[in-house]
Amino acid sequence: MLSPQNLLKRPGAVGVFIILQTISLLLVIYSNVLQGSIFFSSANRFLGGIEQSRTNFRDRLDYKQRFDSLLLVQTEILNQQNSALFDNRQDYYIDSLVNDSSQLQLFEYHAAAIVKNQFTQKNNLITLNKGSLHGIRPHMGVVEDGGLIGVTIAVSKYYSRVISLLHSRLRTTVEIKREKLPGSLIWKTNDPRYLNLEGIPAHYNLQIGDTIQTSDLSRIFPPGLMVGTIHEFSIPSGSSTYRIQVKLNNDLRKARQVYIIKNRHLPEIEALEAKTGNE
Amino acid sequence: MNNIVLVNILRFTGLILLQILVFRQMNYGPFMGAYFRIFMYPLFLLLLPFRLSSEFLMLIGFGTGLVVDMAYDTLGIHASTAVALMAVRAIILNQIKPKGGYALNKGLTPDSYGWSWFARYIFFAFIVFSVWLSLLEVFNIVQIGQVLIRAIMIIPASLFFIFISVQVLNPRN
Repeated sequence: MLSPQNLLKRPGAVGVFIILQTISLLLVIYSNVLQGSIFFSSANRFLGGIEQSRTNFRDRLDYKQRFDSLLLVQTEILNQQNSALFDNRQDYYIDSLVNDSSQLQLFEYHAAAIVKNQFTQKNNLITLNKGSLHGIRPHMGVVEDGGLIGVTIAVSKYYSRVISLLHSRLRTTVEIKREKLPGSLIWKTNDPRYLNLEGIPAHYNLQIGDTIQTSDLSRIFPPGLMVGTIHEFSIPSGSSTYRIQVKLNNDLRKARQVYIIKNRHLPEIEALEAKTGNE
Repeated sequence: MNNIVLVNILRFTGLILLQILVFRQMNYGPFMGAYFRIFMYPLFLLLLPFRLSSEFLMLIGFGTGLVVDMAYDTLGIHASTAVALMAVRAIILNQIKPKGGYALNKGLTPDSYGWSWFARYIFFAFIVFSVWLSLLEVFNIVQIGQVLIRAIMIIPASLFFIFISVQVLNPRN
């Protein structure tokens, strides 16, 4: 029988309701200022979020490209630093002629990224995303903007393993900038921010805050790279050298973008030393 | 048949004119228009014949609401409210079903089913009407208090005029 219940339950009724309400509500938001502004500002906040995500995603791809090209520029600049070049002048005489080969590339910078970092162990290793295919070999220095990272120890085709500065058995030759005093940088503190400097004779003057930089005695790192500053020092009783704590300039825990440094003359140096022996 | 159509057309015209020419203009004075708003055109919708289908009722409601909207310069608000009202009309009628049920040939009037029934019918219908209308007018959830106040203020004055007019005119169908 035709009862109100039956009339309502007809599926056609729901459809008509939806259609008419949709039309009405569209009229409402498009024809009335108050309702329209409330609706469109809410819709905007909702859709704006979606739009923001789309823009972020699109920008990400853009940023990657821009980053890569900036990286190229940066590597170029680093390669042209004086510290990366080899003075190839045949003779030390003042010459007004500029010799083309007076400067050779000695230290070659290769940009890479850390794919696995480690800093909680006593001996920490790092993995980088460049390998033998890119010319990386073991025994190459790894640095980042404003500090050292470590030395490569093993390479595969696409990746390399690096002994981190935060490794108890890595010794790096560095120097105190002010006095040009060379010493060994070792990690004995178990604090990732501080390393130890050994081998500085006790009769020299030191100051807290003195800059520690890479030495030209190191064949792995170009000279003059910032390492850190003297944090504290003391002379243990009975010792003729200082016990120095160096505050690293860089935070290895946050390291991402690095440069692997290839010493072009290293094979020659090592071959020469092997031939004559280390006495 | 023709008689019923004619009667409804007359109701439509009369109530709409009343709404537009009289109640729409009652915006002066401390309370009129701002608080005590009066709507009489829903009466036309509620007195439409019982046998009409929901879809048809909603269509008529949409049209009626649209006409009122044009007079009130609130395009779509009354249209939506009238459609909603017609959608729930069947539910209300079912809830307050009189003892013998509804008959197809009797109008939905106090003459047919009694004043008690009619009062409940109009009352529930107007609650739905005024709440939906106020919601659309305020259009946000934050000011829910505003919505309720506006809704409540519609009911007394509107029902007053509706009951007066029904009493006077005593419709039969």
